[in-house]
Amino acid sequence: MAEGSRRRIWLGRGLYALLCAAILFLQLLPMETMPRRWGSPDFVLLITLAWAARRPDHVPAVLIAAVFLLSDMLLHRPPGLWTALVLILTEVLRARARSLRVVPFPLEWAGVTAGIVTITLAYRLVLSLTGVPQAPFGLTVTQMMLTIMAYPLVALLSHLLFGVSRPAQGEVDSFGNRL
Amino acid sequence: MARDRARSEDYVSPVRRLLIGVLVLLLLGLFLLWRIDSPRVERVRAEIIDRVVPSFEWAMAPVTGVANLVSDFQSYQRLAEQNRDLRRELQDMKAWREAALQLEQENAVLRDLNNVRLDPELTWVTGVVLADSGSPFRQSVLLNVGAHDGILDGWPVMDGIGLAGRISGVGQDSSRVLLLTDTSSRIPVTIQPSGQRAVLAGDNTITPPLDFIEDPDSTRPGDRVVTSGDGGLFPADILVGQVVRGTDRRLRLRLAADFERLEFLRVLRSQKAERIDANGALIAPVDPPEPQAQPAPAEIAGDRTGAEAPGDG
Repeated sequence: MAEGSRRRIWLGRGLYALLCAAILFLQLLPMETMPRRWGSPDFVLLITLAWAARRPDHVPAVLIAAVFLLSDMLLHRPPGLWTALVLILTEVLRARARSLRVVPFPLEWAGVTAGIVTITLAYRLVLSLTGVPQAPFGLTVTQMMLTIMAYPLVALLSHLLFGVSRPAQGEVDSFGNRL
Repeated sequence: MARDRARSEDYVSPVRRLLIGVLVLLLLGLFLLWRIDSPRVERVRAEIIDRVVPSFEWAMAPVTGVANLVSDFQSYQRLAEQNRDLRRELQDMKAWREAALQLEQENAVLRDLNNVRLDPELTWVTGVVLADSGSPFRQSVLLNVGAHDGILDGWPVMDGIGLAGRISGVGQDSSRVLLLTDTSSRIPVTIQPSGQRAVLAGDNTITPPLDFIEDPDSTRPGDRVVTSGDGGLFPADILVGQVVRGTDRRLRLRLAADFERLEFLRVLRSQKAERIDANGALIAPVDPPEPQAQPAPAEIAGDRTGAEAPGDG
């Protein structure tokens, strides 16, 4: 029982890392060299948030930091800042994971939405304070909106495909602690 | 309820909280370091990309190939239509070619009369696009040539026709090309018939605007725009594109390079042109060379290299 549960946690972590690597890989494919008017949803962020809200033990903070720092480096973002903001947000979600579990889904969605909006604005604020040239505001806003709208989809898919669902009330981990 | 709270405090134990705090501080520190000393961090970034992306290459090539196949297939459907258009364009082009040939001959004769020395011939290295920037906020591509092939930061990059961007970040086997459409791209250009200088400032659209035009009234849509070579950044007279009037009434540039599909790019080896920085240097040398003792015949070879050194710098 204890063995099985621990193995599931490690499987979950491996799956998370693999998914993020796959998404990064798809983004890097040289298909689009034309600038776009809209930004597609940030799926790495969505998966991270959905899993942090639902199964925090599958996404340890160090793993999140590693994934986002790598994507900062590969996607030519200012290194570290976005990673730090996402890490803070996932810690907040992690601390609230238990109370998020009992509320209906729209409330969970609203919480995540507030988080995404906050870190996006904070990101732009810090960049403008430090005088880093930024992408057009419209692009950031469309990406943020699409990311928020895609959250239910990602939550549903990670529930159906990877079994990342909210633990039922009273479910216990290998040590008999309540999840 | 009380038990629940005790547990959640146990879960987020103070040690863990401290460690997360340290991690966040480290990340923010990295960001500040990047802001203060960006070249160093960018070099690390180029190093990481150089490690990671080429290892994806085996997977990237087939996937990209399949995607291109699909888009090629779509373009076959329009083949008949394209063929007709091409024929018509060919007719036009033949007339232009005739005109160009005549002009070239005339040019050659005039140049011969004037004894003009033009810019040194440019040579280039061609690379294949490995990856794009992966995010809609950055317009850059990764080439499969790097320091190994002698690529240097700042060299201009063209596709066959026009300027596409410049090298920014070189790894051992890969280098990043900052495209003209990126928000941080600024290129000094000349607008052709009027000879005005302007700056081409990328803004994440396919038609970047022209900034700092001296006299916008004498610039018309359709004017050719070439690099000006100001600041020694680029060699002069590389075609960049044509002026168009954007929907926001600003003068913008339709780029000559085909950004729809950047597949092979050529990196121009831009030689450092001779530059005159000091004011008086043209009239008299800044520090006259030391009078030297007459060299013994055996020393002549060694002495010659010594005498040339100050002239290089």
